[in-house]
Amino acid sequence: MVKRQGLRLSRKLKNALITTAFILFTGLSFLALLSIVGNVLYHAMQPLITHVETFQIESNELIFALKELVLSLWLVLLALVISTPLALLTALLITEYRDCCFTSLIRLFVDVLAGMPGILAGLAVYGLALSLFQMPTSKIVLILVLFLFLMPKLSKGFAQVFNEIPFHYREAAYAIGANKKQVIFHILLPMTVRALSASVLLGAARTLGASAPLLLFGVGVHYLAVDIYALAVRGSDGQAADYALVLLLLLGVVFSIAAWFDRDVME
Amino acid sequence: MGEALAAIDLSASFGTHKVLHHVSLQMPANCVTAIIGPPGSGKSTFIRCLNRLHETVPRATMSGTVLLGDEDVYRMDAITARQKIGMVFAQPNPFPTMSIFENVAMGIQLRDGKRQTYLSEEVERALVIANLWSEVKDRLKESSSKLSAGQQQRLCIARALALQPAVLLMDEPASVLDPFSTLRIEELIDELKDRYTIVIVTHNLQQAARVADRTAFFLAGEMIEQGTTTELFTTPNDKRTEDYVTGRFG
Repeated sequence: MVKRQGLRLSRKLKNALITTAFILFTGLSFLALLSIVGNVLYHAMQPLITHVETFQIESNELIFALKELVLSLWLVLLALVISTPLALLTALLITEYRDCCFTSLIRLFVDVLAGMPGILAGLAVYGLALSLFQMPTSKIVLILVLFLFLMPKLSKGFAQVFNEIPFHYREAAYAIGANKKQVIFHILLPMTVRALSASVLLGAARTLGASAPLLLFGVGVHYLAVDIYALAVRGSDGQAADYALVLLLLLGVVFSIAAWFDRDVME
Repeated sequence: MGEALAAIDLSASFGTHKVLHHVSLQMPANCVTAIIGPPGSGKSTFIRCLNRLHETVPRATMSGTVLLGDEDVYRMDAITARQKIGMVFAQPNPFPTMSIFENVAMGIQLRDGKRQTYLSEEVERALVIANLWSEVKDRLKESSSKLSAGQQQRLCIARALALQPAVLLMDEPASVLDPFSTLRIEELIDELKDRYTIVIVTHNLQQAARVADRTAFFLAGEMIEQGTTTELFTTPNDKRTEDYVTGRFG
């Protein structure tokens, strides 16, 4: 009796600790996010607040920010065009062809590369393309960096999406005479298309907001996240905040679309 | 019409773990054969070997022979085998992104291609046999996930029947259904046995007694005893069968 009460008490204590830790960490994450958004808004809106009578919109600044944004989007889009099909094939290989002898090795590679810090993707291409092959910093090199940064993350995301589909749907398809290719094209892909789209959007958003992979290539790469870093380092906080605001707004839109895509397939 | 199915010296493993040991069982044509036994006795693995679904699981292996009529199932193409030996699972699993019509038509489309003039008739025929036509005829384009669990299970039966199989395997088809839906599935099994050979796995002894003509008792991967359902439930030859059917274990 005493032992059972002790067990119940320790279970209650454990639950209380876990709940407290969860609330604490969620609160901290939320505070961090709020402070970023607040900081960006404060710096971006400061001219409007302090010089409300004489304030004029710096249209050049906005145009520059939008131009950089379009260029960044273009780079990310091209990286996506290359990495999405490859990531899809990789994810299908590691989830649907588990019997294949290379599958475990490829899964390990994907896991390692997906957890790799962004700057390492830049370092890898910098070392190979610029130092070894003496290539100039061009759009192709930048796309290669973004591809290396994005592809493993997409592969891992896609693989998680495929793994979430219960095996009994695949079994049901096999039971009516589908082969593996038909299971993939008729069952798996239609069931996951929304979640895959959400993964692509989230990957794109993550890449758009990452400055680390391209930092090694200097500040003239016309990439919004790198520009923000360069402006902040130079001391142009207001301009950096304007750029950051544009980026945050875009990321907000992308995340919202991703969340809409990622609704439960059963809906 | 259904065809007789026979398993001869069937063994199955998952990696190094052997789950089925040299099972031989005759499943006569147009009869309902029930496979009973406690959890982990190899019932589901046994019927998954009958239509070669076992081999879709990574590291799963099997040995032995399965005969459909006179044909060796393991000498024919696996896809043909699965089209001739249909299967219904414990969990109703219609494809959620497809409509009711598309679910039933799926097997025919995979086999014969997408544009078949007879598709609508075949879908209607399968739904009529599965006793679902009157409930869904006006909503064939609706998503299959809008049906109740019992209707979804009958849809899965219709999906299997659309391919006109000789044998229908049912792996605990009513285990997640309410008593009324279970009754409808049991009535359906009774109607279907005139056209198909049926093998049903069930952990529900009363259900086996109600629907099956013949019953086989499995324990720890071995087939302990088989016979007519009445014999097996009233005068079992083996003590373990007697203990199981009288509820002393399992």
